[in-house]
Amino acid sequence: MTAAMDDTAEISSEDARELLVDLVSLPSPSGEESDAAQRLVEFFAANGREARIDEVGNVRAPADDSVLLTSHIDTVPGEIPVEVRPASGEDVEVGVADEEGEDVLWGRGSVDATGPLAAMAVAAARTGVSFVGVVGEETDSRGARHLVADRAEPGAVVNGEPSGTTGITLGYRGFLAGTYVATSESGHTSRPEPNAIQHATGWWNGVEDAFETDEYTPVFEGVTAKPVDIDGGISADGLSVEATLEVQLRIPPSLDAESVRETAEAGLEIGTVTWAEPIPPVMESPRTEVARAFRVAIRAEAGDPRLLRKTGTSDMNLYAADWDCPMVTYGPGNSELDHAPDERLSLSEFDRSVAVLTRVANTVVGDS
Amino acid sequence: MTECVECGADVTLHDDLEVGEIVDCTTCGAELEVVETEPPVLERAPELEEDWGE
Repeated sequence: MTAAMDDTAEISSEDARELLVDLVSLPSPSGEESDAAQRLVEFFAANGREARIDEVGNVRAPADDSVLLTSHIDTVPGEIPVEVRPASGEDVEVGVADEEGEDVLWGRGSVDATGPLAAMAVAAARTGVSFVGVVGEETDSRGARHLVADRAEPGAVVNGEPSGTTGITLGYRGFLAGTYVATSESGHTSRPEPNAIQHATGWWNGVEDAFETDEYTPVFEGVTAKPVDIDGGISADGLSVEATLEVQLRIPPSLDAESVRETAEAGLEIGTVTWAEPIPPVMESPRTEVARAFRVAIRAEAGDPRLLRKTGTSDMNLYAADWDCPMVTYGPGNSELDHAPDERLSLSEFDRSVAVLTRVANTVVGDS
Repeated sequence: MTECVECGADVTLHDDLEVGEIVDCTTCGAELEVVETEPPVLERAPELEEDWGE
């Protein structure tokens, strides 16, 4: 689809900041994104753009598809009082603000990823390119999964996550979650035979050993194995010992989920592991047109560009698995404040990120 | 043609060069970014850094 002239809108910095503050003020933990979604629809309508909420709750504002700007609407849970405070010396010290006294917005989601979401919405409305706000990124990525199943591939994708105004994220590790379950007969604890809990910890120790790397291997290039929940003990009827271990494995681009799964199961003797649908890793080239446009825009608006590969996983992994178009991830905010109790975003950083995204969208549209 | 900022060797550039483009020095292998085109100015392209989280 090509943007008509009336798909573009003049939006002031004040209106852009108002959208950001409104969205951060509307609690939107995963599964409860509807109020924030409605605010986004109203924002696009007020700027002459059609937008709708789709079957799973995503906000869809189709227009020029040379580039799709998309970020997630949901946040992790946790209430942080929403207020704009002057930046402190500590804010400057930790890189949240450039100068003491500048406006800093506190609130859940200000960094991850309502700041990027609002910046994308404003840039999309200004330039007439496509926008989607997706739901459920912090849990099962159901919004992004629905999008790739339901929508044609755009010319390029800019996914929203915090990378600071100068960071261009090109890569993420993949993700594999599993549930280990074992049961053993109950018996006196003085007996030497291992019980289900020992089987679980024994298996997991073997998994960690199998994926251990030397100190010189970058974290991004290895598998990170992490237990995230454990439950065990005597069963309700007293006849057995049960153990359940929830695990997560991060997959580097050099491996695929199948090989990681085989390695993890190689030492499995007792018990079973059920694996969830994996998310593959992604590593984009810095030489694509959209990456080039970002370097130019960042030098013009924000400083020296940085290229990043992140050890976590994002919706960009899912887009890259289904779409062959070039893509990057970008957005304002210090990712060290993701999910943190002191999540906050400098409003001048937000302004710069909007300017960068606007330049990028105009460049990609002009070149297509 | 311009010089590689890493090794000083001549780098041959194509005619429709664009700002932000990354080119290679065929002598030392350095990745160089075009920061100006009239006349061409090259800088060392940003290296890939590692970061946490999403």
